[in-house]
Amino acid sequence: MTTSADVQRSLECVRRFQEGEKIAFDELVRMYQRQAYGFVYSLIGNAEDAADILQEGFLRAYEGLGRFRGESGFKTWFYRILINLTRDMLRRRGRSRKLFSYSLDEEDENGTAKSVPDATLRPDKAAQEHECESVLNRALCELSDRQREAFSLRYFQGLKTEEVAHILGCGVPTAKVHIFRAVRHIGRIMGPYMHVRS
Amino acid sequence: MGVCFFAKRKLLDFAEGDISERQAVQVRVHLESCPVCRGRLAEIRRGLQAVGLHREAQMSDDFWKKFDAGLQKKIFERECGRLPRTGRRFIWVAPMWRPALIALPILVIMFAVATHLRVFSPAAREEALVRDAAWLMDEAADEQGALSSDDDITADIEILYFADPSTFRENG
Repeated sequence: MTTSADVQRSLECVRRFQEGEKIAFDELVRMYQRQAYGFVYSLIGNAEDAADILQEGFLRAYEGLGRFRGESGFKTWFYRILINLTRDMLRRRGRSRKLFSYSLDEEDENGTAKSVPDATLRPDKAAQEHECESVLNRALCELSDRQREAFSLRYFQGLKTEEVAHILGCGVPTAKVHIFRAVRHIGRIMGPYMHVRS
Repeated sequence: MGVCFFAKRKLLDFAEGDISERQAVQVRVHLESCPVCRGRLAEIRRGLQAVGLHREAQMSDDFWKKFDAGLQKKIFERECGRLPRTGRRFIWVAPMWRPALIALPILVIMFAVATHLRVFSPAAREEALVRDAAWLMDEAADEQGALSSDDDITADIEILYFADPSTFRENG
């Protein structure tokens, strides 16, 4: 989640960068790298590709920040770059559904891609949580690209519908329709599991 | 149907509590009489509840150290010009000229098709045949005219020769 203080801080960093203080960019990277990684990962479900896209995104932001006019927030602008890079990658991969492996609990050879299990849960409860999360990830995979983007921006990144529309490059009603369909689909798939939980 | 459409559009806002009190009352009234929308609302509520299950990908500090080092290296290389700059595929064409760049081959193709149709269409071919026939006839007529004038000259020469052969001997 981004507060208005974060927005102000990021715009301040942008201003400093544009005045020639290149070190301000590092602050922007530290501010946004974790949540931006989570966002890209939720779209493509592959740790290595997500890191590549994020790095390329920061690189493009570094190159384009001089031309940034502040008409939108830095986060909105940066997420638009990430969305475009993600779409490019998906296009190159032929939109293969296998790309969305969502291997959150599988470590790669460097031990980098892993989620942190909730240690406070009992093992049976933890297993149940894990199953629900897997189903949620599968449901996310079944969404169209636009629906997944809209859903992830709205609920995982906590953006307003207007910001989602701006990032996706569509109107607010269109963004609302994408979000509505995504939520309904996930609710349909998650129905039996949510009953068990409640 | 109209009411159902309104309710469908407002269901997500209703479930999130992001709706005016007046519209909320309208949706509630509609929900009492519409089992389909009640089912939709239940799905939406379960979908929103499921959002809470999502866990952000947690990466180790080591991962972020490597990430930062890689990014710094790439920025440095790009600054030094060792890496090609991104987003510069059309560097030789200014953005305002890109539509013209696309339109140009289309115009060339249209011109070629138009020319082909003009030259090779049945009407054009017939016209060309008529034109050729007229030209041949003109040529034949001219040739005929030239031949007759040659005959006249030969006849005149013969008359002159027989009238005064010495003129031809003096002049060679």
